[in-house]
Amino acid sequence: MKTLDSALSPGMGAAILVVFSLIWIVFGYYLGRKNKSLDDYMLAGRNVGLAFATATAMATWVTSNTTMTAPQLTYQLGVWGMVGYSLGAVGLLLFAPLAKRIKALLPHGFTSGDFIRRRYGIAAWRIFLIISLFYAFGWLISLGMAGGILVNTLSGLDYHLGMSIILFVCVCYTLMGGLRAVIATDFVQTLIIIIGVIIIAVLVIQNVGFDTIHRNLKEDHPQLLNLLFPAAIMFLFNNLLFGVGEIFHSNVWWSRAFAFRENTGAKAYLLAGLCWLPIPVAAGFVALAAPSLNILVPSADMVGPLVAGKVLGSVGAVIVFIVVFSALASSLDSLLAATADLITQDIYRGHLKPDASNEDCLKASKFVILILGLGAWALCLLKLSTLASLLYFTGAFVASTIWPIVFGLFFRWPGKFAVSAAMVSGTVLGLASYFMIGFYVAALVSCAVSLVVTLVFSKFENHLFDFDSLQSTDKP
Amino acid sequence: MQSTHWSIPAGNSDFSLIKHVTEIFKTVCLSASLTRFFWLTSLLLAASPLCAQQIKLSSNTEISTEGYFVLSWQPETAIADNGASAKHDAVFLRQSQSRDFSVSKKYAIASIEALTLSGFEDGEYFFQIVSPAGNSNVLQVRVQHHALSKAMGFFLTGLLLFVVLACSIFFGLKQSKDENLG
Repeated sequence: MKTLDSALSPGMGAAILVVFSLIWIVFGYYLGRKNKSLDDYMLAGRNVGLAFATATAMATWVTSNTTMTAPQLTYQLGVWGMVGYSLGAVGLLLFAPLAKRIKALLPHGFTSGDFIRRRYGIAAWRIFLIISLFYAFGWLISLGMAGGILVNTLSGLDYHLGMSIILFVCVCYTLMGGLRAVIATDFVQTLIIIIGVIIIAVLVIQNVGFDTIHRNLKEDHPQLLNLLFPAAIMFLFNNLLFGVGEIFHSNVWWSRAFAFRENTGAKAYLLAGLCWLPIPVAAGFVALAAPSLNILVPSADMVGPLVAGKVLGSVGAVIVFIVVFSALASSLDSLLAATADLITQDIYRGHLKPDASNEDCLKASKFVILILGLGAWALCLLKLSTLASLLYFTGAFVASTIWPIVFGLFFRWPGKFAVSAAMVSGTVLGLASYFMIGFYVAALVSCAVSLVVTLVFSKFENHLFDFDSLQSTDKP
Repeated sequence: MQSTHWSIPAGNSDFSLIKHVTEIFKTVCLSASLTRFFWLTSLLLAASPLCAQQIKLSSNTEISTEGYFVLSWQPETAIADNGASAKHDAVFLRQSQSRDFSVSKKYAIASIEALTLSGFEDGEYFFQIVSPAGNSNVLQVRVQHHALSKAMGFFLTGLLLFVVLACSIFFGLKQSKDENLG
């Protein structure tokens, strides 16, 4: 990609990359020395306290999607894009009661796949694994791509170089430190993200001003201020349901529910949701300043870094660089660890080697992290799409799992066949709406179809589940 | 297309016929020479670095239902090279709601290879790249937002799903507490 007028020199960009890469890797190595068992490596000893629990939940949810896609959606869908993105917090808030229920129902559980298998049987489990792994890969690729775009936009360094370094660093420290390193680095990264985003938003307001931004938008980009902007109205609940689907099904959040100390999960998710809520608004707002600053945006997912670099100069660019690098790392490491757990427990132990010991699983988990990193790197090289369109493509998949999870956790009536049919039909029709209408309705359609199919088919199945059967410690 | 017409004069028909055949022969030879000349000239011009390349402006969509779209141009080098050598604002993209660009807005695009524009209301929009090397084609993009009734339909469906979700969790929690499982 041809470079823009970059806010940082390539040398400065490379220096920040090297310094932070070393910090995260050394930190990961230091924390990894305390890991002694599979529980330590995968679930941080199932003993994470409230402060770390809140920080890791929040940092993981503040991703490249928040710091780069929130500005993109604001630039494309205006004020509702920004507000709609912040509704992603609802997923964290609603997961709070679910986390408590999960810990109570599955005290020895490892993954979200564990629950689906025990609750709905093998067929639903396999459908769920396909959806979950597809989503995990989509998210991994969007994170890797965001790293490359960030480095290229701010420093002019090659997209492939930035993407490769960020993936390499995250794979290294996740490999060495497991979930303990992931959670500890998340704590530090959360502090950096909150402080950095607030500084950027305040400086943009000071430098450009609300009046200038409003006047310019009203004259040249009126739809961005229109509260009846049709596509943006359609996007609002779609994003909320997409966020709910992401959090409710993904092992990233389930593994934390298992890892958090007793009675910590619900409070941690509630606090994390409340703290996360204003971040997309602050990060997205800066995109509205782009027209006032005469910034030409080649690709909508570059707008956040471009505005920060233009308004704040080199200092601003350094802050953005560090904030987004931290946000990327905090999500990438969590996703790598949680997806590796899912593959190790549900594919390796569940399908390939049912008699695998904990030591075998520990080795397999490390190998899987490495493979995931390599796979994501290879797919990031292709740079097939913009961040938002790639991410919202997965919305059709994950929103179909909302009802099987929620109904399955609380009620005895959902049937095995009903939830399998709900996940398949929801995904298929969600994808159809993605192509026929737009990315901003895929999750909504998928969720609606999945609800109807779950309710109707469960009525015909007429089967009541025994929750006590979840308490057993059997392996897959 | 203009047709060639040979008139045959009256009288001295044999001589006239020979003369006529000679004329045809000369014309054919001249045509072949001209054709060769044009071919050679075209090849030389195409090989010359001074040749002005036609800039092709395109969009990711002809009809935008969201008020945003991405414009890109080929060859990118024609824009970038001019941007580097000429003044930065010598190459620009102009935007207008009329095909003759009587009232237009300009974007200096010398340093980029594509441009994402957003926030447009319903209407027809015209774009053209103006450059010292020559202007691009005129690109027309129509913005036609989704009907508000359709958008409200999705909004209300989303709201309903959210209410069902919140109620399911609330009543589920209540029920699980009653059963001493929560």
